[in-house]
Amino acid sequence: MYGLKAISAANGWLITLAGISIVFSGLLVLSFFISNMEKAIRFLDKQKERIKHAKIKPVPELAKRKKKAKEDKRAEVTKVVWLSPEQVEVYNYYRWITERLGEPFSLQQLLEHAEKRGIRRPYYHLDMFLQMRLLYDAGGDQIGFYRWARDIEIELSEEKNEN
Amino acid sequence: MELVINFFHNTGFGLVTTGHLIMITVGLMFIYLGIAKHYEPLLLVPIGFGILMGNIPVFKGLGLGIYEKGSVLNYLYFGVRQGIYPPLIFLGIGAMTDFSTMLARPKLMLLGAAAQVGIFVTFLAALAIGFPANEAGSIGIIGGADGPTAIFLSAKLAPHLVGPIAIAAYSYMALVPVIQPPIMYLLTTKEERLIKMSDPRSVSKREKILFPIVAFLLCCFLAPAALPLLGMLFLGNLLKECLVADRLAQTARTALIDIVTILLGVTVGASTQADVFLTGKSIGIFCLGAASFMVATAGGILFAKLMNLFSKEKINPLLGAAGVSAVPDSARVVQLIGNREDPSNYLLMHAMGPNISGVIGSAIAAGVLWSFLLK
Amino acid sequence: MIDTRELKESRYLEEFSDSDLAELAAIGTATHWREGEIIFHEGSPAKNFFILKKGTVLLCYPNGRSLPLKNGGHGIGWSSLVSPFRYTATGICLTDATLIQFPGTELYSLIRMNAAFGHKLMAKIAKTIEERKKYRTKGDRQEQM
Repeated sequence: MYGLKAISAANGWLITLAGISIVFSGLLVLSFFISNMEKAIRFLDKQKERIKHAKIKPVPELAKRKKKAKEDKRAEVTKVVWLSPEQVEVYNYYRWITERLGEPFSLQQLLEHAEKRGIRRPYYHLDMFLQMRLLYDAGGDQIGFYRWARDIEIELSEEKNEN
Repeated sequence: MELVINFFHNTGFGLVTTGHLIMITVGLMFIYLGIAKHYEPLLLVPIGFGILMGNIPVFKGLGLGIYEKGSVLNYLYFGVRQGIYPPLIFLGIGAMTDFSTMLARPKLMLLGAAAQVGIFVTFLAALAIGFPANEAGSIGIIGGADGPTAIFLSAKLAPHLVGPIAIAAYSYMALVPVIQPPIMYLLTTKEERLIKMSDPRSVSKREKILFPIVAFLLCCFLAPAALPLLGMLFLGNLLKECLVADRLAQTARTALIDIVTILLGVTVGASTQADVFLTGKSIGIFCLGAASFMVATAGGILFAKLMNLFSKEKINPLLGAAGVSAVPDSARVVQLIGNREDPSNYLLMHAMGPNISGVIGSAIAAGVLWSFLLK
Repeated sequence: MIDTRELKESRYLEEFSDSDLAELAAIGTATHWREGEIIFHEGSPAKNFFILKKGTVLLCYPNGRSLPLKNGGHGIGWSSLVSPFRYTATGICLTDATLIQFPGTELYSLIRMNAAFGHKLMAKIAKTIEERKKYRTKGDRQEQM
């Protein structure tokens, strides 16, 4: 038997109707109960609170955090930066590459060119220059591209200040 | 010489048929999809290997095949035949699921109910094309997108179809990211996909503890046949939420569910022996299963749109697609589509609500079908 | 598995409760990377989320923009949790770095188990995506060399 006849013969319509109704009513009752359960609990909690007169003092954690963040942000502006001979060499190399790339430049391209030219520890030196703020983010539309800081002087130190 | 020839005839090489080779290819494909494509690997790898185990041509009478009484595989298959494994998996699912996304916004539960329409529409379609009622019910449940529920119901109603139904259910669950998006795009407008959901309220611990108890009582009074599945689901959840039985919850959601998943996967895979699996019925099951998934997805989405007609706070209709209970894959698909329209729209956590209620909905639907169709 | 104390030190996770951190610690692994090593490539499937513990990681976007992330408090690899599920940048270590790695699938399981945690994590990720959005917009610089 096929088609609608088969459905009717197997009580298909009835089963489907009953099935959908049961699933819906089950979840409907459950959702009704859940929404009221929350209200009931909230009501009970309020009553409890009223009885206890419990007061919760705000923790001054936020103020502390803000203060710490401010302290972290406070950065020292260095006008003269002392670099080891090796760092000066890499710095000059990087300046040479970026002159060709043009400012603002992409750090990825800078690294690619540095690697191609076999510059020693290009990643480490890039990190160092970023830390020393010799490089800064161009910001605005050019965010993520970098420029060399103009107000910083490079001085050659005799000691190596590498890690 | 004759001895050697006889021995050769009794080896796999001598007994192999085209059917075996086809099924071995299917098994290898499952293993490939699980390992290389990461499609539900925890399920597809054991099922795929099970298919290989079930399709090694063996000499009948040696007590090796899964359908041969007394064989090791037959003993392991007992858990599938008697519907023991699915409730144990539900225990683990309960112990690993936080229902608070659903508790925070109970009206989204209705999306989980609406998606179950797919089960019943497919049930009707299967009847119409000539499947007997018990088989039609088992095929329809594929639309619930819940493997253990599909195995449970087919083991009760049509044990001979457990293999193809389980394979279809798990295959389509793995294919949720492929099946659902076209339907989601087709049934929603760009404006609807851009709807942002407000932050849900926080749910207290007491609500979380009360929920499994109350939900169990309510659902099982309404559909007692869903007791084995929902009972274990809510017990698992109570173990998780009550905190005093954390050791049990931990076992249920780790070791126990893993062991049962391995046994279920391997035995379901092994039950797909070529002579049982490669039939016209299996093709029908696969076609109807896919339709069932699509109708379920559409049902959820359309119901969300219907709810929007009557409610002040609009629901993103994409959430309706998460009503099919493939957790968390369908919620992930909702997130993906919503995010594609508006990168600042995060629907994942909102979609978990209907997703989880879909699990409850499909278990109730299985209970209803079982009680109506059991002869 | 890592020690919960390691996560407590991370600014990225400061809104998370002790129990959240304990759950995260159970799925986290400390990974160590050498200077110049690539953690992930732009466009590859995003399988892991990372929290930077020590060192500097440079995120290089395909448009040429880059964002250096230094020391603790940065979440990297949000694509493991939200679309496009592929890394949107290449992560390169500028120095030796330690990152805590969380498999995306495990994070999904945690989200499923603990919705409050899921909300916090998604809010955090949404913030990170918003902050880095400007880096993903098309660049106006062309290679000249």
